[in-house]
Amino acid sequence: MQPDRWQQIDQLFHLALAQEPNRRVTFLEEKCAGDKTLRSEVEALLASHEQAESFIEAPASDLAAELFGKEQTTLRVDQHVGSYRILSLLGAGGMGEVYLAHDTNLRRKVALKLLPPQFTINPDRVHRFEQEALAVSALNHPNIVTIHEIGRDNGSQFIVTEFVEGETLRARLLQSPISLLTALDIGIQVAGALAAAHASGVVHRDIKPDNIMLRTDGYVKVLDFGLAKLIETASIASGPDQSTLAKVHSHFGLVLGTAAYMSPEQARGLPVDARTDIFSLAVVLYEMITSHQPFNGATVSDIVAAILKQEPAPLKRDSLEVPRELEWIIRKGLAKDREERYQTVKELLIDLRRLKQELELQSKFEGFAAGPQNLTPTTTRDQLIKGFDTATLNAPSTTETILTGSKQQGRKVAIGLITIMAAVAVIALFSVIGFNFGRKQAPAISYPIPRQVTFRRGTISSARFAPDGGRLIYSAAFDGKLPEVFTSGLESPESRSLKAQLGGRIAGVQSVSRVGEMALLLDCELNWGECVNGILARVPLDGGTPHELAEHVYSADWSPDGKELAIIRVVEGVFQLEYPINKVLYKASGFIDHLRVSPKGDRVAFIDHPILDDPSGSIVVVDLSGNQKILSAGWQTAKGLAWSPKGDEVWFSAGKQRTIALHAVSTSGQYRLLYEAPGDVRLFDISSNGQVLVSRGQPRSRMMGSAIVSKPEQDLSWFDWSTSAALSDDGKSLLFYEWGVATGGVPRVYLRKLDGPTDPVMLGQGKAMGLSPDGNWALAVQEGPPSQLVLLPTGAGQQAGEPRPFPRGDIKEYHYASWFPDGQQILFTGLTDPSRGLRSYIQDLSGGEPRPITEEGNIALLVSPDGKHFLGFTAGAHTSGKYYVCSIDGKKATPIAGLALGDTPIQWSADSRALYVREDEDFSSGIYRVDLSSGDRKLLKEIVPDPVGLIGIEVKPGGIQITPDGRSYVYTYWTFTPDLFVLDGLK
Amino acid sequence: MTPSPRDVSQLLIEWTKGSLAARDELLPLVYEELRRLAHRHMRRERHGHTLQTSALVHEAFIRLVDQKNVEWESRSHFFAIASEMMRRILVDYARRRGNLKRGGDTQQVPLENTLIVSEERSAEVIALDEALRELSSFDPRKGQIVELRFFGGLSIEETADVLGISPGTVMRDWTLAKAWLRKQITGNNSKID
Repeated sequence: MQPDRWQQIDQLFHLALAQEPNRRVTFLEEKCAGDKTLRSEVEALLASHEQAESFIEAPASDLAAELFGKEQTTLRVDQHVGSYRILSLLGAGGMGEVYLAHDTNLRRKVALKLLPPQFTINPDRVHRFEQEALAVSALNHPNIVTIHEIGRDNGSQFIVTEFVEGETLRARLLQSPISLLTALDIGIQVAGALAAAHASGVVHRDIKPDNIMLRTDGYVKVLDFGLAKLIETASIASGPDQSTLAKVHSHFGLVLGTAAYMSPEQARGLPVDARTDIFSLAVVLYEMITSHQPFNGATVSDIVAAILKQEPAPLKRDSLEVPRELEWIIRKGLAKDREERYQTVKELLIDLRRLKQELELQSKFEGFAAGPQNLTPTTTRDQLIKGFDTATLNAPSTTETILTGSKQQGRKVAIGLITIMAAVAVIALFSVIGFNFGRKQAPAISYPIPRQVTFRRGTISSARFAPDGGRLIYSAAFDGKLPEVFTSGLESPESRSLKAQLGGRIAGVQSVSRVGEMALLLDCELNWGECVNGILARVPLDGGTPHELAEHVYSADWSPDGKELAIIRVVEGVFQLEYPINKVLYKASGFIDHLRVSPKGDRVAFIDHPILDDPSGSIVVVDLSGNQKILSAGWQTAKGLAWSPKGDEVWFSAGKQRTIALHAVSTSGQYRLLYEAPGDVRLFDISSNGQVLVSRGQPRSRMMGSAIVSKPEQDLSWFDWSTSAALSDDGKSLLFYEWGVATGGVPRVYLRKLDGPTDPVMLGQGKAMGLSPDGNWALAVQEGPPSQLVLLPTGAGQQAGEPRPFPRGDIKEYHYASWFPDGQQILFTGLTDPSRGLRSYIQDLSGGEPRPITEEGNIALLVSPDGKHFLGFTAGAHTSGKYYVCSIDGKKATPIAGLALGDTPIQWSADSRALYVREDEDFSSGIYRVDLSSGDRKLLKEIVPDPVGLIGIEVKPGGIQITPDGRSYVYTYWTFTPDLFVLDGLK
Repeated sequence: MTPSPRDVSQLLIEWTKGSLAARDELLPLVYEELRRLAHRHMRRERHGHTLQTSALVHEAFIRLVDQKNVEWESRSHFFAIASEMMRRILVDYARRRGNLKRGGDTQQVPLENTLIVSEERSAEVIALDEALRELSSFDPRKGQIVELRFFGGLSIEETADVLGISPGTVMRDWTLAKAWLRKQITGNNSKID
């Protein structure tokens, strides 16, 4: 383009834009004065402008994140995943990458699908998906792809299925039109697969050409049963409006193609049933026959609208009418009201088969009539019939089709099916009777009898039965001492410490072999009372010195014969399971613990926690060749595991809410609840005669403080999980919240007056954040989503009554909040969108929208008493982040001199010249005053909580509080003092 | 292997001095870092600590570059480099994606339409890159504005600040550049929006 020409276009374009839209044509006509090229150029640009509104407006990084986010940890050729060797990439998409792989055990080709992590972070959902997928695969139906394994490797969930040589129906549709008979045959085979799956209670939910594989020999295989469950989101279920749905779909990149096969009930976000699959299959049939989809649209919303409202165009094929019966079948499948649709896929199947036979017969006659020159249809049909026969069990043979009339044939099939259905009904009836009969015979439910065996106060890190079953060996930190190993009889509370034998080292018992040898972890770290990361040593139970075997061990168990050990240890930062030692069976993405070898010694069960520092996880078994199986997933907390004496079940202690109970899962994945009691019940061991060793206790979060100057520290706790949030500047009021068992997991805010004997007053729901300088208001965040920042009146001033929410603006999540010293403004940190960074805002008490004060990724935490500065924090990408002091306008940030690594600033000094910081040790913390100008640091107070049952100190802001004058303080810490019990009669 | 910040800084300096070899060496490093960030981003979501998606490239950059060792001539220089880097990465990605589809003797079984969508997007990225190159040939300023706005993620004001022109001018140029690019790329059915 010539620069002067472009300049001309530029000018005209903007001048025209400035005109009223209806004036533009005339305007350009005048200005271009006969220069037609110029005029059409500018007109084209104006037209393009009209549609360019959102074009490249979203920054490319969003696109990059989307593309790279979708990109999985791509596997390399020859890489091993479990026992599979990757051969090549078969395909990739929103639901993962599919590889051709070699099964090194069974020496066969398999397809290995790697699921993207965003679909597998919810273990509950993964578990449900696995159950469905495996249930359908177990049907062994010729039209359902067989799943060989669902496993996890290196943190990624993968599915291994039979390798289907062929192409997807989608690929086939892109090539050339599909013949009527082929289309019917494919429809019949898919319906056959669905009928079998529906009979076992599984709905596919995502029938579309991409999920239908056409094998070269004519078999049709339906893929991905249950997979749709993984990607469903709560918003689909709750948001009936189209925009929500469109958002959900585009969020996962499941766009136009997928939407076109949705049933109206799916589009509305209603619960789906088998009839949804019927609708989707009818869409696929329609598309196979007409080569276009019944419901079209340029956007997801348009398609959804068409599905909900439009009647599809009459079926035409190369502008010819299709058989009326077919039109009728497909219309019945596409009925918007599911009550008017086929009610079962079997009915659809019968109609499709009947039609196909009629058409075959017709074409046979036509073929004969037309003579030998018309061979092609016959050839096609033969291929079709081949596929048809193998796929449909009740189909008559080809000869029969030719010999009998089509009408009769249809009836015959129908009668055959009625017979089968009657047989099914009879069997069902028998099984109901059989079930009831069995129930009557069953013994009455037995109640396990708990017997308390320890009575001293402290944490118990582990416990085992001695091989004779008459003695216990356990490690416990009683009375505030370091953990020791004890032995005791089952009938007596008296115990003997092995401290001297172990040279006074911290020790946790891991396992006792059948020949009476202990496996211990020495010099271990304590993690919530458990002994981890120690030196593995074997020690005879009846005396002798430890013989050290390995370092950095987290868990260990003897083989049944007592000759080998299975261990979990960390090597180069990765948790690995070895059995025997040095033979690696499993490497974890997060961390693993609580391993136990099965009674036969052929398997090892353990708990897999996919995220480091997060107690959530699954119960997994691995065999001696490293093949893994997830037995039970979706636990928020999982601690403790043992094999049932017969080795057919793994028992474990885990919880989905606040408390932990006992559960059992069979090696085939059958789950049942075993035992619940108030508090946490943790499993340690099961003896060979079925006695179960557990601990029971209530973990607590407690508050202590010396709030009123010169008074000694006092217990300020209220219910079971008190967390301090703020202390008034005069040290007379403590704001805290409860969020344990007592409040049912919904946090509640309380105010405790410390200068009188009164009980705490409940102010409302939420997690407390700060107390207003005048003491009249508490600032709290109520959990969402979206979370809400509210003011709760304390009742101290004139205000009373309802919580006062703040205008949210774009904010979806609130994280930290505190008051400005003048009490007129609030400083808080929020998130507008999960894809963006945290940033801080100022909120005027008088109202109005919040105003950002920091850039995204930077957080303002506390305003200095003089109102001139705030304490800021920059989230570090790979470091723990950095604190700094910033002028209140956000313009000048200064690093804090004298701040040591691991220091956490918690408060300004009253003169705004220094910060109080906490420096945390394992079981104590120091509060220091750090002078901002000189960097001098001075220890003000050592926080040393009661060591009995102590498992940690609260690290959240507010966990340790000090007043600006440095004289009053309060802190929150966690304790757990369970007792050991033996449960008799638990089955 | 994680590259040391020093290497990256050195490569960047060489690139700014015009070494294309340095740029080509740099790309895969930043690209890998982006992938790692995007991956980690997913894992973090569960904890509620989310990474700033729109700052992905800048973060990847900052993580790789020891800024003390690079004497950035100015803020604008940094953004210009970051924007160009993003453009390179995306185009490189799109090309590789295209090759993956065409190349090799592996059988393609696209299981989802998303694959097709990704490929469409990849094709659009390449088309945009080509159109942008053409635009820059006769109107370098508009080209730069698009690079900063779209690839660099800068706002109108920030772009104006970096280029030392008024926001009004940026807005005006941006409007026409968008219309022209859109017309150039697809005629009518682009999805980069």
